[in-house]
Amino acid sequence: MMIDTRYGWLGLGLLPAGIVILSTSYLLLHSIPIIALGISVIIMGIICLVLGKSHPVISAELSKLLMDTVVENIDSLLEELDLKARALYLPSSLCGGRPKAILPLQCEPYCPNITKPLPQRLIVSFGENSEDMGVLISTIGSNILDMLDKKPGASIEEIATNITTLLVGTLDLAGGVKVSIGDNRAIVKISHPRLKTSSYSRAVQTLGSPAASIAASIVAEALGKAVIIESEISKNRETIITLEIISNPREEKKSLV
Amino acid sequence: MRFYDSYIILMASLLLGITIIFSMVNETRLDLCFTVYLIVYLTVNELCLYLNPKARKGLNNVNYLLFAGFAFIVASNIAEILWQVNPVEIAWRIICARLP
Repeated sequence: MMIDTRYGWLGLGLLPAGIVILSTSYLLLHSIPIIALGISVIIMGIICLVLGKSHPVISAELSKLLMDTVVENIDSLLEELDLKARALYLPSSLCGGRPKAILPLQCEPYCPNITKPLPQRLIVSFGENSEDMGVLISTIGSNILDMLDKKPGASIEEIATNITTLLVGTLDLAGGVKVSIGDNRAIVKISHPRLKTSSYSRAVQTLGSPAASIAASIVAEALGKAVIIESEISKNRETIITLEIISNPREEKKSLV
Repeated sequence: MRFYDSYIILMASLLLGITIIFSMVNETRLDLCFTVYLIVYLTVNELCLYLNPKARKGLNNVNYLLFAGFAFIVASNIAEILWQVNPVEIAWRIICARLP
């Protein structure tokens, strides 16, 4: 069992303490309230041991350091390639494995029609036109889906639960999350966001903040459609992320027929 | 991890609060106390939906452990009603007899 975390050590302290309290009160004191206290301490000890086992061993500082390094590298890459267009988050069905983001080489905002899985390369052609070229990269959201039990479902409740589980429960990036979907837009309201990112960073301007990237990847994977982070507004300890869901024009035609 | 901290503080406060209330009203039924603990534990777990899946799996295993305790209490109560024997006392006597 993992005892490397403070929860593990807390559990390891509480469990024997509870057993001592329980046995002493049962054998010597014959006091029911203290026996009950012993039982509750044992329960708390077991809970702490379980949480200690599921808690990551590496420190938050190390994670932040790694993330800052990766963001700086992506920044340099984007500036060197002069990529300014917002990233298009694609579901795994269009990337052959994991959900990824494509950074179009042309700057004009447009909605490419991607119908077949893209090759696993850095620079890929994603459209019928010769200028439909882009850089296909993994984002934070690409790898985070492994932390979920199963692939996110398409209902609003499932999407909201998955985003909340990841941002609040697993990553501790926010205090709460609300999701609403309608009219080809998904709005994710994050209350009490805890990770501050520089809005001047090229990586944040194109890929969005880590929270927005995670939300976009989950929505894209859940709906099986491409998603663009339209805007990200922070005010009064709340961040409102607006995601544009790109419908496949061919699918729309099929549904109309 | 603030969410884990909040969960632990909430659970500890509730369990301690229940213990204090039971001692204030001179409640001496340990089975009732354990059942209330079990209910509180299950309720808090259901409210904390957003614990990460690994922690949730572990806490589900704790559910089974607590249910085993609850089943033991029910079984010992049934044995006491049917045959007027307390399995805990019998078990304790056996342990005492075997001790040097």
